[in-house]
Amino acid sequence: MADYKDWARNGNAGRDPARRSGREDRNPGYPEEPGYPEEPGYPEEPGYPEESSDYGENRGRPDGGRVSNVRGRGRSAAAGREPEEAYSANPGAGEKRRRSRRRWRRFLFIYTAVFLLLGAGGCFGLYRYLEAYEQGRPEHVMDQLMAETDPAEWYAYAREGMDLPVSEFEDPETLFQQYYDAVLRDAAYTYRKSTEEAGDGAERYVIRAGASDLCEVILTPRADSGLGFGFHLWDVGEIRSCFAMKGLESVALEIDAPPETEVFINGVALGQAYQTGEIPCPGLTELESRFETVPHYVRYRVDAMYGSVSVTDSQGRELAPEGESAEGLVRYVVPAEETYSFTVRAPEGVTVSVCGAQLDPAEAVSSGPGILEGLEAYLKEGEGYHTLTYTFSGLYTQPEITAWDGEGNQLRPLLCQDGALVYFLPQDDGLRQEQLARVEEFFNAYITYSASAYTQENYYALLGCILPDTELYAYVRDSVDAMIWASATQVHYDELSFEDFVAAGENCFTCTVRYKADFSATAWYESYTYDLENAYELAFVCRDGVWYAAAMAAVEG
Amino acid sequence: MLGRTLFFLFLTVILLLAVLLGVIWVLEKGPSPTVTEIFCRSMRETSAIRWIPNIFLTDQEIDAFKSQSTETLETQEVNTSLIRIAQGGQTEEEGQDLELIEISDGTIKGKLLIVRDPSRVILGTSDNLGNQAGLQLTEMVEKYDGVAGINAGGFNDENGRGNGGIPQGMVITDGELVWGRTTTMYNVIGLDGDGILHVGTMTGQEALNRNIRWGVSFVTHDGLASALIINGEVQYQNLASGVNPRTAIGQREDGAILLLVLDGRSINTLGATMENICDVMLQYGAVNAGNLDGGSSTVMVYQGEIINSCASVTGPRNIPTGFIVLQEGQSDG
Repeated sequence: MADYKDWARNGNAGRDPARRSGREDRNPGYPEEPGYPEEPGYPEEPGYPEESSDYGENRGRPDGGRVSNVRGRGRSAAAGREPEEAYSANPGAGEKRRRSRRRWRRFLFIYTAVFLLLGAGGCFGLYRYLEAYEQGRPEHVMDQLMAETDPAEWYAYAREGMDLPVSEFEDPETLFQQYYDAVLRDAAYTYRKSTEEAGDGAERYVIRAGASDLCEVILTPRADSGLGFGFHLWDVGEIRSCFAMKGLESVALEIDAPPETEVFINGVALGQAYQTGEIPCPGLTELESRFETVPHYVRYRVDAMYGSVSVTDSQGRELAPEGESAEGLVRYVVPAEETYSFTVRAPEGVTVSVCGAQLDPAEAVSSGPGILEGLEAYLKEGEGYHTLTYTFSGLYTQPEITAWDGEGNQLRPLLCQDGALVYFLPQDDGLRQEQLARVEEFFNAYITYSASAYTQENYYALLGCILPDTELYAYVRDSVDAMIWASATQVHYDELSFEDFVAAGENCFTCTVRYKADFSATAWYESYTYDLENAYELAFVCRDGVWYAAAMAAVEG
Repeated sequence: MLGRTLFFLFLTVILLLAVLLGVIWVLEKGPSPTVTEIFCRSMRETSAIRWIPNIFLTDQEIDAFKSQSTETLETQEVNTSLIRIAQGGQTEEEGQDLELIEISDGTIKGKLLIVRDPSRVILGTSDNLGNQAGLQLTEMVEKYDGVAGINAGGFNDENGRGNGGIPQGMVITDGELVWGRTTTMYNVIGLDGDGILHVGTMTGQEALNRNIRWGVSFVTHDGLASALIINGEVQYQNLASGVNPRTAIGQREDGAILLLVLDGRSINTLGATMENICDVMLQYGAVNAGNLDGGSSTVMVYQGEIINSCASVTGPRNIPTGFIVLQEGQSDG
């Protein structure tokens, strides 16, 4: 390219008659025409360096183009001999090639220049475009907004957007605060472009706290701030809450409570408006389901609770949920303020009824000979009876217990201090009359020995009333040492009765001793007074025509 | 004449390269850090031309734009109770088990295929995985007699010349770990036996323990984990990407599978960012979503035809794995 310029600048035309005359300029396209015989006479041309670059063009020349490869030196040598040798055969064709080459080079020059110019222009345009793009990015405004906005403002936008139909048991403010603490407080605040159109050239962005959309920011184009390429600066326009407490799940509460029992949710009493009906008491025993009046619970339902739930009973005790179903139903059961239990002991053949429900002997937790245990030798086949023990607990209804014998006579129970009721078979008055003296004799001997005086006389008098080789006999015999420490005891009976005489067999009967007494005792140097109310069940057997006390059990009546 | 033509072409190429260098200079050293960042990330996500940012930028400058690797970060576990698949796999939109949606939102363009019955989606693999070249997706869909499909996991693609035969990461098909190790941590995208999509970081054994039946793993060259949305929460740590063609899979609350391809590297669209994927997925109700192999691998086949604009200049690439949508009435069972 430089050679081309040199060639033109250094007065090449001065050595070229044709160019001097300007004919080439007038008719550059037809150098080979016959009307221009002087055309082949360009002796200097081959020596010019620009031709040397076209190796291909010179390959057909006699020197193989070697001369043209030597700048300067070749130029002077070629000037003297090449024109005639090289082009004398077809001088017009050579000129044509030279001109073609010149045009080709000119084209390449222009092409390259234009290409580079356009490329540079394109790059410059791209540079300006990116400059405008960068300045006009709405994200810059959003970044600034995020950096400068106090978290309290986001809180306000979120609060503004919370619109939940909360029940009377929840305070919207507390509810929101709970949600905010759980979901938003430590969440990363970010923004993203909204997928919805903002319209009017505006941009819509959504500010998020974690996974929750908080509010929408509308960016509007700043007036007269064109940056070119359609870009412009932005201003923060409207900010509006789009907070929807996303991910907030509500639960329904189902609360079962005894009738007339107050229940509170978050400190607010649960009213009748939330009652949905009556249901059987939870864990109702089979026995109680047979009662004439079956107890029931009341069921309450609160459909939507969004925040924390605290269910308390009338005593202020917080209840734990029984569980949560997949459908978001949380159940609470308010326990009954009081439940009841009872124990009944009754001989077989006695019918026991609780609140109208008759007990089946199969429901007895135990069955045995009771006081007659160990006295089988004094009972014949078919004699004696078993005592059944019934125990029930967790009853919602206070049990009303009645018992009848086989003939429908209602029996009177002995109420023990532990609450157990003991029933006996109906008394045989004849037997009582017949055996009362012997029973009183034994009991007096027992009380006299154990309460009044520790003497051999009393001791043996008592032992004489007891059937040897029985547990009772062994107990009395071995209790001597235990009784030494207590002395000078006095007994005063307020009540003393001998009841429930029942023949267990021909040589065996049972009865009870019931008393209320004041015992005064001195142990070493200290005196004690006891008000006792007690009862004993006694069994007597006849051996060799003499009735002996064979068993004695405290009933703790 | 031939010589001149060749020279002209040569010159033109030289000039084009010069102009291209100029363009790259403007992109890398120009006035927009945002564009520089996107450009660098986009280039670094490719296999063949990830060296381009080094032309005018130092390694330190490039490192500033490099995404922080998240591939080993623990992710929360997908809460399967959030997905309630309609009985029989059908939603209330009975009879429209497949729905093809044209995605065109600003600069992103692509296709979204909604498969309402997740049991119709399985993972297809090339024959003799790891030992011979992969299959084109059309061939893979045909192999499984499917109706549609998208490319899935990554594969060894040194300098963009891989044959798609050797998967990267792990592959689980029909509940069996056929590629990868049980003890290695992967960024898994897979469907369990109930048709629930799992995304997140887990070992191969953990993936099997979660009953994943069809699964792959994927991570970008810069180490961006594949999980984009887990339990409705966007995984922002995995979004620092450039623009490129993208493939992704998601699942709606009702169990419907979202198969997404977003085109790129063309006149119509340069591509999409991970954030763009999230936007589309969220817009269509995804609760969980994961990014799959993108770039020139991005392809979606529907009814035997490639329906997206494939970015590969040599035509659809061979790939080792693809999520295949089976014919109606078929299922993975």
